[in-house]
Amino acid sequence: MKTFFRTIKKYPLAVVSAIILCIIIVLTVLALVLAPYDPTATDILNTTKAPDSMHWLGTDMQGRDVFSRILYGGRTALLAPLAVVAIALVIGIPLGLFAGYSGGKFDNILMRICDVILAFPSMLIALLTVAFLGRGLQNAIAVLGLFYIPMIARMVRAQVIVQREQNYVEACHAMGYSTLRTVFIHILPNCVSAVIVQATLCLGYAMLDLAALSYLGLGVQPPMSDWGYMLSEGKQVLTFAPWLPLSAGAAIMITVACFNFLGDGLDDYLDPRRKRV
Amino acid sequence: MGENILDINHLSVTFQNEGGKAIHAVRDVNFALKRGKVFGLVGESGCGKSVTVKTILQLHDKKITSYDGEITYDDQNILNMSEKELSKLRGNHISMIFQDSMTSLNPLIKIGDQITEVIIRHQKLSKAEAKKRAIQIMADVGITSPEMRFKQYPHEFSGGMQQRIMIAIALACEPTILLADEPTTALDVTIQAQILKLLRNIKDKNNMALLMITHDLGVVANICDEVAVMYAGTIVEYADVKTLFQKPLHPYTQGLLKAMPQPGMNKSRLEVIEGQPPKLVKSLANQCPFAARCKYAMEKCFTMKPQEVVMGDGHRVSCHRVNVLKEEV
Repeated sequence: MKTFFRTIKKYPLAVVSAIILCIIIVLTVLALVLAPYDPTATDILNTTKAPDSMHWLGTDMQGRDVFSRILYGGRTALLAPLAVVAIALVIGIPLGLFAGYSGGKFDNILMRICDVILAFPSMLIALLTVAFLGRGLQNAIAVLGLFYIPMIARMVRAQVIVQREQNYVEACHAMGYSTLRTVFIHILPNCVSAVIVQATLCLGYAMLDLAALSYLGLGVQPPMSDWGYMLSEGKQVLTFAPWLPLSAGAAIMITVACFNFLGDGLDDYLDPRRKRV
Repeated sequence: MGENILDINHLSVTFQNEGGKAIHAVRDVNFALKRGKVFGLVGESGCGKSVTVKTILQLHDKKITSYDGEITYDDQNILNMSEKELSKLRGNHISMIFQDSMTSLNPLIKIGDQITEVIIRHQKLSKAEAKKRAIQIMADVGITSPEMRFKQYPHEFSGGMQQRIMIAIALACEPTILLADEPTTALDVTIQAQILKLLRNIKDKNNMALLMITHDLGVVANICDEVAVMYAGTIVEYADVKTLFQKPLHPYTQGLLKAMPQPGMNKSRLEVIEGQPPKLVKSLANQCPFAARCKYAMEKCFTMKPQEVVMGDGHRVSCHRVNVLKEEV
């Protein structure tokens, strides 16, 4: 308990962010219980109503309760970007590690493939692929995940190239450690701080990209709710029902900001040289 | 004289650089390491000392390096060993201390874990046993309160302490040979003396062979039993330490000794060896490598490689003027 309070003191922003994220997660998980209304139930008589005691965040164009939709929308809005980044990390980290460590042909070929992928506007390819594979959240996640691999792999590779030349790596060879051990136990932890920063940034991008896909009708399918979809929907009513885009936007902003602060704090926390005593 | 445990015969190491040019970093080097003895390898920067030592552990990039000759350890030629055999050898039978201890420790792993890792890898001890052993070694190399230090990270240690930890890691598996690549260069003089004393004590205690790379002749005089002077990838002179300091034969060795300040010297300037070492891409098969800088150089020195002459006391020197030199001394 003592160490817990000490941690809060050292990284107030990160801890507060973690707590807010936990609250958001709990809220979305318990949406079924907490939501005052069915998120898909329309009410033609009460469209675009301003927030009041009945509807805490007002209603949208179909008269659906915005608060309930935010709660339910959090499920996809939180899980989908996490899934995207998880795919990118699981594939991108080993690729980057081996490209950077081995160098040579493998590195060259892999990095040129990355260049090609990065040269295309990701949105365009995502659009085409999703249109081809069929619309839906799963396909959107898979495609975006694949598109984020080069971002992670390149960054890991750059880190590994720096680390590879460090003396401790040569010392690992001199101690008779295997290549796998050297790469995963010794080099990877030295790259982790950059990976965390990149991953938190990617979370934000993924959230926005997914929102864009949903907006184009290729991601989350209506009547399912999603923050990104709600935000783009709200654009049309911005002048007379600002609570709709504002609440969705605020939800996205708070979540992305929290992920970033948390990543920043983790970065400090995991590096013993910068760990504040 | 102790028994030879590592024999290096006619070792040459050649790197291929990116332009496809061959760099002859080590040329036809011979020496042996003996149990309980300290062998010193001296010479200026870029003369192939580190390359020679890293070759013993096969630490060079395989793709660009080619070897000639043999390094015999335990009746096996290290140059022919498979990667698997090598990883059993490295850190276990032969281990190495690097010059820059601050960057040779992984900054993100606790000191204790870095020591136990090598023990667990090679000795198949349990974690608890390895920890006990690690704390014992830390105490052996002079770390006070090793239990507390065990849990700390490298940046919490001073330079001298980090070098002690490097030595502890190198000694964790009780190797028979310890290779030390300028272990005291990054340290200040008082710490240097402590580290040298520590190395000598441990060498005597474990009866191992110690190979010391250095360009500090003071260190050589302090700790070594035998010395080889390297120049441009070759050993130009080889002798026991007393002979080398009292009767240096090769003009390069003489130059090195003259370039070292002596107490009570009343010259205002030290003597220097003019010029630069030859480029290592050059083939030096038909000349003396030192000829271009040697003040005694004759015509023969530029057209013929001097043969190594072995004298009665094991003193070896490669110079065309060896007969003249012997009389002079």
